Amino acid sequence: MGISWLSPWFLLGAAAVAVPIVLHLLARHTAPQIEFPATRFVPEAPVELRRKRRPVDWLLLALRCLALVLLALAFARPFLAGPAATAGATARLVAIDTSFSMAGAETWAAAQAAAAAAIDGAPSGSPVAVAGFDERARIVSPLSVDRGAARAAVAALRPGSGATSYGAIAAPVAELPRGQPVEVVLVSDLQRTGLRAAIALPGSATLTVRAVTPPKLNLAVESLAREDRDLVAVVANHGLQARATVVRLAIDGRDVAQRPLTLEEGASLPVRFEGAAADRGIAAVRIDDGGGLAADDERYLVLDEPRPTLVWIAGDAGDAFYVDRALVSAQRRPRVTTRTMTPGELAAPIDGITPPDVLVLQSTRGLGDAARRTLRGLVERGAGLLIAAGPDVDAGVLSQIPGEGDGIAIAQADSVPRPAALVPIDVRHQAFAAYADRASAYAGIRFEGLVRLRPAAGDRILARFDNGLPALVERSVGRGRLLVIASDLGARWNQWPLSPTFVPWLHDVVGYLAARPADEMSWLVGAVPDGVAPAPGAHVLADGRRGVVNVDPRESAIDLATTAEVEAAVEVAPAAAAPAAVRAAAEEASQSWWRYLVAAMLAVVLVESAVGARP
Amino acid sequence: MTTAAPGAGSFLDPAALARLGSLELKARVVVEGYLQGLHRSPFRGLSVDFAEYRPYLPGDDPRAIDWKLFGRSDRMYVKRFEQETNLPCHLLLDVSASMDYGSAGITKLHYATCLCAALAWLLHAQRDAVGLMAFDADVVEHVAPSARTGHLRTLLGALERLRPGSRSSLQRPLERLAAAIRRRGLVVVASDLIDDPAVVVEGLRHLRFRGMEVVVFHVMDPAERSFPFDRPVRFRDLETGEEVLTSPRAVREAYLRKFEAASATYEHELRRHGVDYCRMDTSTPLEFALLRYFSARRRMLV
Repeated sequence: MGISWLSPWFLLGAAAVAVPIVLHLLARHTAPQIEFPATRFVPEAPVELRRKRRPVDWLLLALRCLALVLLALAFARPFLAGPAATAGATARLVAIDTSFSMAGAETWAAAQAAAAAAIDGAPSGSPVAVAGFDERARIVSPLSVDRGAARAAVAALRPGSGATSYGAIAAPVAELPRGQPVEVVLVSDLQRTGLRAAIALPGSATLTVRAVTPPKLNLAVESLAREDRDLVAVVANHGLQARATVVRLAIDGRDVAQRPLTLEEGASLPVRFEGAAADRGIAAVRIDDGGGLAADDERYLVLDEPRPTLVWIAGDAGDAFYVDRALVSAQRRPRVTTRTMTPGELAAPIDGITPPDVLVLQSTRGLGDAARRTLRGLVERGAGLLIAAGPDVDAGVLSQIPGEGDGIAIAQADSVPRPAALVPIDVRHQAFAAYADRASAYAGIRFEGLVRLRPAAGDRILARFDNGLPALVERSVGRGRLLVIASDLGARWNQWPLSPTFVPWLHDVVGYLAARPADEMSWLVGAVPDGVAPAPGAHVLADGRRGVVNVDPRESAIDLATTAEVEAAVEVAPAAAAPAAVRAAAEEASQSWWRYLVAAMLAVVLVESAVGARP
Repeated sequence: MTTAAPGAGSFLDPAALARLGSLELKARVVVEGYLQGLHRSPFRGLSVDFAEYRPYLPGDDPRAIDWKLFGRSDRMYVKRFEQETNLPCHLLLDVSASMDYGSAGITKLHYATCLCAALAWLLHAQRDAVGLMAFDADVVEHVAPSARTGHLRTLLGALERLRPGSRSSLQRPLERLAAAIRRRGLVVVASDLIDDPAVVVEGLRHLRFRGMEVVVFHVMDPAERSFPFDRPVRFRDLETGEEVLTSPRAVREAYLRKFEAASATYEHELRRHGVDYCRMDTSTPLEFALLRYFSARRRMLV
């Protein structure tokens, strides 16, 4: 416990007290000039004008110095740190669930009433704070004894589009002064899905739950997806009785189809719109849900063609042929565009051109230092690299590709003449997704030539040859990924490019290395990227592409937890839950000594003015 | 006419008077404030009393001809009124630079201007002819005496246009006034008398010799009388620009002695020659000046 300072460097400003002292000492006494009509009667008299050696008006000097010191202290924001600062006053944090399941008129009115009662019911002199939460919590009225401000904050609060997560209330509690006894009053409809994370509260906090009743009826559009040329929406009835509704599909705001639907209690059914998947646009499915929650009655999907995956293929023209044809011929989303080049071309500057998502390296001929630096830079910035260690790949050069001298050389090639077959080790890996349930499809491919890979620690072997040697090795480099296959992809050491497994495998590998999700332009409200507003609907990104934001379908379920279950989710959090600076700011804000210091400074200035005006 | 002096407490503070609007309003406030304190109204008998007809003579003002009587009798007569027997009054106002000083919320010039305006308003109400001569080193404004309707507005307008001038010298204005005087009358001087006392006294004595009743209002500021300065000051003369660096504490007594001696000289010499001398501090209500005026007027009418 003791005096602490939020901005201690402002205390240096107290050195400004030297200014009036120096001015007092340096100031020369100068006789003021007065215009006077009877000057003819005024006799001259000697006047001593000399430098002052001591301050003349000690009171005035002291007042001015005091005003400066008080100002410096106010700017330094003092506060009493430690538990004693708020000892004896248990704070109350009223946390109101603002998820969209609270949006029913009666539910929200009951929640506001419960919150207001919790504010008014706080013991006299106890500070009260108000926070709203869904996946995240935010304080809308900081810790203060001003009940009016807290009630006003509750009245201004509105439910949003997020989903409940009771664990979120740990954040505002952690911002309270360390050791501050606090009673958290949780006002919520007690959605069970909000219990997916523990409520980590400090030992000095207690939790009291005030439950409000959610609507008893609710229909929700739980998903909307493209299946070839069809659009399929899944509609669920979370209410306690059978419901009939109409499911409407709109593309770019224009209604294109509708389907009647009847759902039994607790049932969910898919609704298919055949041939409705346009090449581009924003699809929106809406249902009629009188009496239910409005936020989950609509769901959006981007139909726009995703940005194609750009693949650079570096190797001899003959080797690159099979890879290039395999990538560009398949009708998959996103499309793949390729650029074939010699390894030496990688040395050319790539500034100003679109960097590749994936590089396929089939030869190291002409791969100089500059090209290797380019290769390394691209991978570290997030590109994927597939190396086919065939006959044109030099073992020495290969060992330097990820980086010279940094000890991360991953492979050394030795000629192994014996034929072998490929056996996936991890069939769940995305590289083998196409034949995940028939891994034996790779067994028919005979690898006449291959190299011996020697993975380093941390590398991951995804497939081996039936002779036990590693066939496919994965490593992370910077933000990118690196895959090395211990044979070629140009039909010189094997006939794999002629196998039916080759094209799907290559597309899966490219998709995996490009690290792009299948539907990268759709987000939930609680997980939007920077630059996208957390509100349901269609959004245009800075680069002109369109994306959609949907509500979390888990919030639609009327599956309520009990008060005891929510209270049981409380875990005692580590003591230092919030950063020291945040705690200090909260403690200082709750005490606000600076206001008194500024008031005292103003009072001193007024007295100084009165003293200075003396005749 | 009774001129019982009202109590000073009922008069308007000059500083408050200075904040009033037009000069005419100020004059009216002063005069009516003064008159409310009298037991008898001086306006009694001051109406334009018709006296007699007399035949028109060359030189008479044609506007005084009674044209209705001319229509009936075919002879021209002029009307004579009672007030024409009254005496003209000349207001001499000092507008020199030294008058532009005020430490009590009103400058000496403003105070003297209000004084002249109040006198003019009162004189005009009594149908006395009143004129104005403003001066510093020379005459800067001259309004000939008249009792005609509208003359008061002319005179007040002239007073309002006055601005502080340069050095003061009463010699030349007094000479011009003496040369212009045709009839016995009253001369009222409002000045701070920062001038050569001998010249001033001689000029006023000459007016007395011409049969004029002279009232001198010696206008001074409270600071001139008390010298309230404390710390070392460099005084700069408003008229000459002369600077005097001094310690007021050390020279206060000497200053007050010299200032009082100069005032006493004026008082003694002027009264010796029959001039009514009156010190007017700018904190003194202007009604006192009216009191002095009535005293002088009464002497004239005796």
